[in-house]
Amino acid sequence: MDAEGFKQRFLPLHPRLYRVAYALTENSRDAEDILQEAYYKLWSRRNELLHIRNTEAFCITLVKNLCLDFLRSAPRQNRSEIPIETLSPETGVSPETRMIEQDELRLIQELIDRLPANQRQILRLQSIEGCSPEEIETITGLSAVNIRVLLSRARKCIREQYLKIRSNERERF
Amino acid sequence: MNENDFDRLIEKASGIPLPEGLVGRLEKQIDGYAAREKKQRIHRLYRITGIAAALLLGIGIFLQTERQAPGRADTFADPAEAAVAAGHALAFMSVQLNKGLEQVSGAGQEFEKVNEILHKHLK
Repeated sequence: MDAEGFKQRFLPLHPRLYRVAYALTENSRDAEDILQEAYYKLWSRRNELLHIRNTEAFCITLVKNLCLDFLRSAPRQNRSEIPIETLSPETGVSPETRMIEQDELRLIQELIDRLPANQRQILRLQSIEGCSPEEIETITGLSAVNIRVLLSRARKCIREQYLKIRSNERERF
Repeated sequence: MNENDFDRLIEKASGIPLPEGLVGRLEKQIDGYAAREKKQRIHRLYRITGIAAALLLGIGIFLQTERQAPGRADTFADPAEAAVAAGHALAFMSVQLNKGLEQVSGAGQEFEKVNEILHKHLK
């Protein structure tokens, strides 16, 4: 397989692979390093991978394993690095509406950061477009029931905290 | 805010945007791997060609020197030449044999002289 064939086959997967890596490492630089390492491994074995049926599943498993190896060796920080502006790029809304939404997003992001690691991870994986429950099971090693329970707890926790903070703010003012 | 709106916000807040220029960096990385492999392939080809050329040269020189050296043959292809060579060999052998016989005869005469002297003194 030459470089062009390789790019055609594997490069389109990079958004999902990056998001999986970020969901697990919670650091954009680490996620990109892991993605580069994954592409190096795929390139080294490209001729063996010609007969793989599900390329995407293979790549996601590769990224997951690299993330797990990385997490075992390095301490990590919990804080989200995602700038709020990138999450809310909607056009056609008034600046005031946009500002209110960004404020809400900022608060919810902080609440997500406070969640236990497993709930936070599943929430982020679930947000990846096209990431099926089966894929989340493969990545996390948890059962579908566990994942549903953790998601439900995460949402409940965020909602409760959010309402508590907003009600405290209202009382203050 | 109703539950659906809240869930939508959570999904948005947990979303993960891609870093700028990510695909460009990955493409560059892949092109780099391909270029490095091509370079290594060319170096390997040069090395193999060099070794093969050296071997061929060595074999050629060896064969050439072998052809030029006179070399000795075990036998003659021509019977007349074989007869002449055999005659020379026999003549050489005959000369050497005669020399040997002369030396033996000379040694015998000396031996008799010594015996006469001994007998004279022992009487």
